[in-house]
Amino acid sequence: MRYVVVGNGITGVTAAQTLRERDDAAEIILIGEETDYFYSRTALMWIYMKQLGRRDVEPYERWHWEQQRLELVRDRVTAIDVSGRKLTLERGKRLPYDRLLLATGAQPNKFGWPGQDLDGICTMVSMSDVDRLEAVRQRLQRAVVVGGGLIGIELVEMMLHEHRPVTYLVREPWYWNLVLSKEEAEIVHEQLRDAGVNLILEDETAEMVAGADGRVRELVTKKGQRLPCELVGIAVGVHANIELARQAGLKVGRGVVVDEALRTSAPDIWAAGDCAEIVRPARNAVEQLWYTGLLQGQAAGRAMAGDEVHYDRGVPYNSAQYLFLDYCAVGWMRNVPFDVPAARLPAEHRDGSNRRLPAELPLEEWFHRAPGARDSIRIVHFAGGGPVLGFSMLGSRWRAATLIRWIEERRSLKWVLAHLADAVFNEEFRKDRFAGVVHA
Amino acid sequence: MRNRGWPAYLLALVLLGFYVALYFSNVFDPLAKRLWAGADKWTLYGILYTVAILVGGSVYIARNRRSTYQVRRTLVIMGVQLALAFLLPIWMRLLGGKSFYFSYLWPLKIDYFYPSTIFSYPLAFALYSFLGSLLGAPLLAFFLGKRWYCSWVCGCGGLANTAGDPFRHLSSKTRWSWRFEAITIHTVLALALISTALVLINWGMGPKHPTFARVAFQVQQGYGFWIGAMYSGLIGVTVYPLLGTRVWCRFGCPMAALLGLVQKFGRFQISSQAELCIACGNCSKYCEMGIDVRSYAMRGEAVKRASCVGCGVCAHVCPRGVLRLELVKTKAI
Repeated sequence: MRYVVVGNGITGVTAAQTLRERDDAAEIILIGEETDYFYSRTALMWIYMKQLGRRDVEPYERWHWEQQRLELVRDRVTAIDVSGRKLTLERGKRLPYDRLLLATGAQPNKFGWPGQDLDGICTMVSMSDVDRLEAVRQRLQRAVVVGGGLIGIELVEMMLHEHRPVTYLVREPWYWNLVLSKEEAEIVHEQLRDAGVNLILEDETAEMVAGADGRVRELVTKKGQRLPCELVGIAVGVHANIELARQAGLKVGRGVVVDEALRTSAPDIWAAGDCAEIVRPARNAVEQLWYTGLLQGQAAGRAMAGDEVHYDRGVPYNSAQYLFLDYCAVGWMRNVPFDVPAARLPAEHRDGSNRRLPAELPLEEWFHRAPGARDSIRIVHFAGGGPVLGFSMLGSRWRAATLIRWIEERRSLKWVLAHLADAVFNEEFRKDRFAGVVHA
Repeated sequence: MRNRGWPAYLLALVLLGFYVALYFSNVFDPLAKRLWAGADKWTLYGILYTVAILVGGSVYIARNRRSTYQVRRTLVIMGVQLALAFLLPIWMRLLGGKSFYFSYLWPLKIDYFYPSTIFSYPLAFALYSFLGSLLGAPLLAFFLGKRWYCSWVCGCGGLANTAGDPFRHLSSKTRWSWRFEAITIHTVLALALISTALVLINWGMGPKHPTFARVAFQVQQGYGFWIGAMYSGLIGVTVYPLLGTRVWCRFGCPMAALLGLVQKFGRFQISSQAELCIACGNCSKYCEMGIDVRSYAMRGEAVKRASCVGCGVCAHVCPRGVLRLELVKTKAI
């Protein structure tokens, strides 16, 4: 049996490793276009900041691949012959497969702004993006960062590290309003403004203007602000790489369409990770996070090896850091566009399918900001002290598995507040700023 | 000093020159005499060492002020060095007595188990030394981890974690270094035990066996010179800019070896959450002991290693809240 995996990111690599665990005799080939070895895409900012070297972000030592008998190929797949079960590689080679996984990832969005491809306009999803950012470093005087999400704030931190004035352009009324409440975002805004960031809310990019040298000179916003800069960091989301699948005649939408076993519309081809769109009863899921890439890679590996697989990410979670401010989110929040499985909803609110958390659900929030500190806790729960559904924890560290379990166990708000200390993951000696409030 | 470029080699050469001059010549004595009449080159070395820890520690605290653990740990290191390893010994000498270092214990300070040394002190000091080395230090290591000594008290670790901190990431993380470490650190521990045993047996037998006495003396002298002076001092600090700061602690220190064995069965561990790990590698890169922390974090496994000195930097540099230093009750106790 020859398994071929296209894409050596977290999804492809995890799938290949899972296949090796399941099938000791199989031939497993991992094709990577971007780098010779798997690296951690999430670590790009520290490469730019010289806190990590390029070799440091490879999670496995290089002997690992040989030891696991995973054959690494650096090439680009240009075509899939679905009926002949063959890949065409850019260097001309034809590579037959028995089972194929597409883990081709995603690429950064740009929304057709005039001047969006000028020299000095940088995204941040790949190693070559770091090369571009580094190329501007020498002449960098002022930077503009666009996009109120996790990568946007990383770009801001990278520019601050260069000790350059940075303007942060966020289209929404507050930072990351998909997830954070207004009060929480205020804390992040304070953090940004303290660091000297010029934060502009509720305005967006109109165009990028070139100087005489052909490089970006300024960014003009829709409200007419002119922001002089040598670098524009763009972080307004990503979209799935589906071209290869589309040309091969596979069904595609926002991503390569797969069922819950991550099978595409073509025989013996699976897709997983950032490039996949999973069919769901209400609204198909496109999950483009590090850990969902890992979970989908595991699921794809098992499915390809012949296991019965029903992929489900379970209770969603993630953690982040906003300029030294820890953040941990677990579960569903009113303003989060995640689909809550019907099984988690009280009987009267189920409609027999997975669905988006409707606004009319009787949800309440328990929110507390520690006085004088950039710490807050928000717990979303059903009205009347009912089961908890989500945690949004800013400025502190938490055991994600414990919070996930509490949601799965449908613990009441009162019970959760009484046991909150069990889930704290802060370092030793850190004062628990919530103890008094919770027990009152 | 991010990489092992030519400035790193130059600095290593300067450090080597300093240590060679310190150990094998008396060029620093005239300078020391200017301080006060009773001072010698070792007094001067003590001052330099203490200043390095105080200045380096202050910079470290400023850089890591967000972490209460790091701030407290560094304040204790600075306090121990200033009070127990510097002022108190000098004060004892000024009073006409012999210096005693309360912050050092056997087997790191191997002479504190040599009868010739320990009987030159009052009985209370001997008791402190024996109880501290055989009971206090292992017990604390069982309940708190060996960090209580290696990262909170010890002067070698103290210099590494203050003035040496900018070099911490240079530690080798290769498999090869791991195999090397397992051999060397246990060899030094065996040598320390042999040397102590020979000296004690010789003392117990009295002057009846001159051949045995000569061998015991040679082993004692050899260990003192090659391990005590050359390895822990000259080599340990010289390689800071090339191989990181904990070369002696990792590949040599018999105290670290002993407390590490206790730690392996004790309560201290670094817990990890695979769910939140993004495999960035900051934890592994900044581990001064060369532990591949990331490989544990990615599997959600607790780091329970004999070598971990519990400096806490892996948890502090983790950008996703994956790691936490914890005391977990074991099945035994």
